[in-house]
Amino acid sequence: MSFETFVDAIFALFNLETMIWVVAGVIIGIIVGGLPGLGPPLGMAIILPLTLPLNPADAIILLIGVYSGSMYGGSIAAILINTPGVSSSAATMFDGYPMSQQGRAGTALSISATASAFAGLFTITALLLFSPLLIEMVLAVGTPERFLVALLGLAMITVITRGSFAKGLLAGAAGLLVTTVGSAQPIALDRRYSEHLLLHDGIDFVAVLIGLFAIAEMMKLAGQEGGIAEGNVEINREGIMEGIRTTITRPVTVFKSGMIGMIVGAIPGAGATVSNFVAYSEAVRSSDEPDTFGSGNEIGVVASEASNNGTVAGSLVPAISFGIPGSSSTAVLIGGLLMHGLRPGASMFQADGELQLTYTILLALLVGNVIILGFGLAAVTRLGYLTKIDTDYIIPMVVVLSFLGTYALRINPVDIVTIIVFGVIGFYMVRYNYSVIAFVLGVVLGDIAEDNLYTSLQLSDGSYMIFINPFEYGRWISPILSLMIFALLFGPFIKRAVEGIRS
Amino acid sequence: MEHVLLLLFLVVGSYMFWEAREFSPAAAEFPRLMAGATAVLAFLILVRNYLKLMGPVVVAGLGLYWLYGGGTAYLEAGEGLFRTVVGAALLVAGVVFRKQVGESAESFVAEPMQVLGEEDVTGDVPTDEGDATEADEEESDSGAMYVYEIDDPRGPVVTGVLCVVYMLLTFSIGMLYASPIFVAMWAAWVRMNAGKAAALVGLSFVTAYAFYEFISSDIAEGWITGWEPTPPDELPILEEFLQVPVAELVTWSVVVV
Repeated sequence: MSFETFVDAIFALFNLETMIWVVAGVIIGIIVGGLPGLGPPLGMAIILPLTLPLNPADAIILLIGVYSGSMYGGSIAAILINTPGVSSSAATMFDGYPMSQQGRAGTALSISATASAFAGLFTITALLLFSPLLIEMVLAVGTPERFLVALLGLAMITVITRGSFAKGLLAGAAGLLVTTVGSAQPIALDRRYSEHLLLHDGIDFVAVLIGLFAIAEMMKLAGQEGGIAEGNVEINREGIMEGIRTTITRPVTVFKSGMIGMIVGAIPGAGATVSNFVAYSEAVRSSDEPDTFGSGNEIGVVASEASNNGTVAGSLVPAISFGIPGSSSTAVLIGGLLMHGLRPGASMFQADGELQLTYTILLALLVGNVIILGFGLAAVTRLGYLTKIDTDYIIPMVVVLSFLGTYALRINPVDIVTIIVFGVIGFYMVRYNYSVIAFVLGVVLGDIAEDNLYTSLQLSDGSYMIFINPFEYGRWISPILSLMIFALLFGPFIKRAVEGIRS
Repeated sequence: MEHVLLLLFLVVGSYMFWEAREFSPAAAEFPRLMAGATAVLAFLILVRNYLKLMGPVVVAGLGLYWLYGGGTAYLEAGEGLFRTVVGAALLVAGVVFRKQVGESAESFVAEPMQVLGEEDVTGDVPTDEGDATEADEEESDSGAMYVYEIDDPRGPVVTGVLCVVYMLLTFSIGMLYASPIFVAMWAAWVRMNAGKAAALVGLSFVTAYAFYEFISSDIAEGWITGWEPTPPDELPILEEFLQVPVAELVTWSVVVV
């Protein structure tokens, strides 16, 4: 770890303006996560265009604060009304809601705040300690490898997400295709599908993200009933201390679940939804009383909430290192990096590049987890109000913010058309099990992937063998990555075809 | 509707693949790859019920295309050997092992993959009706909701239509006044209580004004008409009526909100 850069990052973080954005981001995140029907990708997508006037560090810190805060916020609705505010709090429902029904809502909410904060604290610390090794790994990767890592991330997402394999690949390819409209920016080559000037700069990826995450979600929400509390949920303050004690006396569960979240979060496409269930399942498996889970066992809430905040640290690893989102939220985060002129990859880890910014972001997350603890515990008795807000009030305001934020970016009418078109496409993609995360990854990575492909082909005089032949080009990581991609995509089908031939 | 989505991908992919032939070779490489992949995959999913027949045809067709392209390049300039070999392999697979290719293609399109399991999950090829049911019953990978069920199909349609109307209003009169009109239409659709509707309309207007005042005043201009309705801070009637500068009033509203 570059100590001087780390110290500079501390000073950069602890100034009034930056700290205001840390606090604002976490609180907005808690609210966004607590309102059923929203969620961190949507909240971050709407805020994304609003960060344009900010400096890059404050903008990214605000977005990350929303991401981190929403992980805790999602537990509010899960515990109080048996509806997760975010999918990463789904497992919290299993024991959190029964606790609420037993009059222990305050305990459950304080467990959620404490477990979220502690797991977030130690996973970010682990990431900071691991960062020197991570820096070495990232700097060892060259241009052809960066292109292949982008493809590998896409391939992993298509394997991990539900729906058919072909659907995932189609979504990824379509997302990459979107970025080819307009002139090829990274390599300054003229390329226009239309002579219309409005399309000269291509389709804005922020508009695509807002369409997919905001408009599509609001269309879906408009067709659903429920999701709000019908009566008062009593939350007593006496349970708060009990919740804190419960979490502190279970350090193994917090540590194990946080690490599960971190490792799963680093897998592209997995995200907190998967880590939530994996950590909960592990808690059940390792318990002496597995039958008590599902009826108000506090350990269930500890495990699920520790894991989803641990995921935040894990998902940052592929996002900042290679520009591969570990989840929808980090896809928006990468969009934020690109919008502010930052490029995920080696430059984020170079002392003369953006290493200070990277450390500032991680330190901001550390501080954010402390804020989650403080705000979460202080506001426990008032958090129930979030669950009473009717979605009929949320939907039009989200649409208005989406339109305003998108249009204000470039005053380009194509952007308005974009958010509506991709809103409708996104709605039906989710409806028919097409991977939106793969599509988003394609949109976010398209320019980076093309730039690296183009440069790689320049190095090899147009030959694709640079990705496969280690002897001619002296690159051994590339063929290994190529093999991994091939095995991931086609291995099961080739195996089946060979078995069919043998039989 | 899934067929419409797939047709959209197929048509757009095919169009962009065709149009890319006019770009310079360097500029065309990536778009042709992605457009080709999009079109082929969309086609495979569209014909998934006939994949045992169409799968080998598509594979052989792709093989022939690469064999021709790679072979031509190899004969002319000594390049493209890899493409020639892959093309030949695909052609042979599509013709000689068409049964196995068809079954593999079917599983490629139809079956969900389990990454943590040891075996692939096999299932029947879903029909259109089955897909719709499956979409209703399965979890979505949306980040917002855990369970995805549509209770009122009119909701998404009306929301989409209102968004289009909002867009047209924006292009006509600018977003400053289009925003509260959109919210008013939404409130009318959901039969919102009049007081709450008025408050929501007011909130949307204040939000739009905040964007107008602090981010970009161009949002108040209709892109098609070029017309910019008088912003509230320049309405003399309002100033005279309220006896306070309207700009300050609205700015304080923004701060309070």
